[in-house]
Amino acid sequence: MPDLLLDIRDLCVDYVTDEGPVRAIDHLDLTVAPGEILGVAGESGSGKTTLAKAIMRILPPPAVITGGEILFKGRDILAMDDEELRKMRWREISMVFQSAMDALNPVISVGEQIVDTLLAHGSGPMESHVAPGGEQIAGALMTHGAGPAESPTLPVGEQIVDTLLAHDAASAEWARGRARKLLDLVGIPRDRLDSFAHQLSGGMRQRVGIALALAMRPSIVILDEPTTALDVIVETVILERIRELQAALGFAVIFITHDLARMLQISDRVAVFYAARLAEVAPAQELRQAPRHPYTQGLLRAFPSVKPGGPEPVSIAGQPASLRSPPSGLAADEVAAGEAPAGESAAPPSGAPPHPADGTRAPRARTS
Amino acid sequence: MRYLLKRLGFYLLAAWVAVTLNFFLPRLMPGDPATALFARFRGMLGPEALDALRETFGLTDAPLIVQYGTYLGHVLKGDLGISVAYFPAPVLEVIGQGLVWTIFLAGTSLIVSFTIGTLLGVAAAWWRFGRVDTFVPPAAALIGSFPYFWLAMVALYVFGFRLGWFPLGHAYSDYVTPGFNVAFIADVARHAVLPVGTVVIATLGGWLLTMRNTMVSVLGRDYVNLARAKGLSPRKVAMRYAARNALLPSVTGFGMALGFVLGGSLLTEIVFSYPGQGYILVQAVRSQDYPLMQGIFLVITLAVLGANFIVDILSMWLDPRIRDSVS
Repeated sequence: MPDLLLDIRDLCVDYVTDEGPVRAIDHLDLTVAPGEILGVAGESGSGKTTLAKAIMRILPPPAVITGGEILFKGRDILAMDDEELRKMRWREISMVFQSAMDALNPVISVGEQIVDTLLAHGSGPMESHVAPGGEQIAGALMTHGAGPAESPTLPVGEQIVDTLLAHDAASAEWARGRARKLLDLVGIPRDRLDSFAHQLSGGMRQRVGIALALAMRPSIVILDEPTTALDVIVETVILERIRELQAALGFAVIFITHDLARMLQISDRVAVFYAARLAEVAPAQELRQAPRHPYTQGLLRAFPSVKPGGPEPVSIAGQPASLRSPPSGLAADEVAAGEAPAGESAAPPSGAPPHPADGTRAPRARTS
Repeated sequence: MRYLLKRLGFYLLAAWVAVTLNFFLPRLMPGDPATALFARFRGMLGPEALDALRETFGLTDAPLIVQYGTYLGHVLKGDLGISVAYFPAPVLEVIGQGLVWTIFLAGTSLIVSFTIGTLLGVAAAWWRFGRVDTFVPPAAALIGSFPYFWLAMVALYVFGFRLGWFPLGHAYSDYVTPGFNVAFIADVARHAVLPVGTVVIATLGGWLLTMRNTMVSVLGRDYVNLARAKGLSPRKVAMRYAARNALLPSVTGFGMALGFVLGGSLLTEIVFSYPGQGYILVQAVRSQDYPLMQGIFLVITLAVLGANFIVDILSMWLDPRIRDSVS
């Protein structure tokens, strides 16, 4: 399928524990088209980050991919050998990690961490074009523009592309130059190249993470809750920046978050995770207006409205579903939030929270 | 830089306290070195000789504070008095001789043990549950839990006495001339194999386990995952991103061990009759050689302080977070 960038089929991931395997991703099918922004929503522990790490094949040891395939441009990532994998990583799919605090090595300067990535992959496509001043791009992209004046003659997008196409040949000097430009791109002063992670604010660290993710101009960038640790203003600035860059560079984005409202703003399509499975995949517009799965409805209802007089947020009762003893039945016909299932002998009395006796939140087992 | 100066100041203060204690402790103990030495010569010396000896050791009837002043002056000049056991060699000279062998023996053991242990730790953590990880740490822990002197004596018995592969003691044979020649160096190396080997085997496990455990937890960090995801070569991920960070606690341990190197590996030197600092210390205790003991304690104290200072510098160099938190 040439029109699909990523085609995940029937993916299963288990965490091996002493009490037997715990399924973290259960027969998942998901696709990503070139240039689209796919939102992946779901609460903590529902398998979002596991999915991201499975795509990169960097799942930590107790997690094992037990089935399915992940086709990237038609090639199965799960079947690649180490060297193929190494070349595919970052060049084709890159990732911004969840924790801005922990994703950068504390004892290596941020510049070096960008440079070693560039050097590990050698050069990009041959192009002898030299980009105009990187600062201009930074200035243009800085939403609270403290940067120098932007170039009046070049559209922002072209300046970005130029920057990335600018040089070739994998020399350390080239890589440093490019690292500087990448910092420009995300609005971090160039002299921060020799800074260490602890010398940067949380927002800056996450921007470095984004600059790093763009270093090889990948076709997919996975954003794993990139703004969780940041305040809303910084979050907005960073998401804006990601959208601008995405529009200019045309990469696809897998945007993982538990913030459904934020996701609906920027995504083309949204996939909602619930207890290791996909509850619903739909275009953002459609999902916002007519969520089909009760769990999605519940999630949407849980966010406060910004309009005065809007409906009060309703939280979903109970605990997130345990993956150790997953709810047995699970599909769109299951009740997730707000309504007690009708016609069931075990139905709780009306008014009681609609979750089973073990406190597990929703989809109830089918009566057998 | 200001931080380092501050640390240096602290170490100087600590050194002064050590020197002062060194002065008072022997004076609080019964008996004095002059009497001890006098007794050794069994009446062959006259009473006026005893007074002369007291004079040499600084044990005058002058008030304590004056004695203390003289003592400090002597220490600063490097004059630690005359050894009783090796009479009439000055303490500094005796210590100097022992120090050379100790630095060679314990230093080599420490560096070899640290390097091999740490690298094995890296390997064990990287290939977790692999062959290295399954067999080496338990084996190292087992050997490390034997009493060291027992291990050393067994090695000496088997490889030195039974098989005759290595000499039974001393730093070099009588028939080689000390100096910078092949025969001497080869002989010294042959003599060092058993002492160094046993120390390395006994201490390897500590370095290995420290490194392995820190490395295992570092490998779970996101920056290592990120390094892997970036498509860096496995070697680079293991060494530059994981091992580099996991090394920090080991470096502290290395510094501490370095300080104790100069104290001499007492047991090693006794079992293998190796003429190092530890061996000399035992001789000093046996013959109530106070000046020598004092001298050795002083050297050990200064060495520990010096090693700590080196660790301070080293960890500042290795860890930018420390660099910033102090400046």
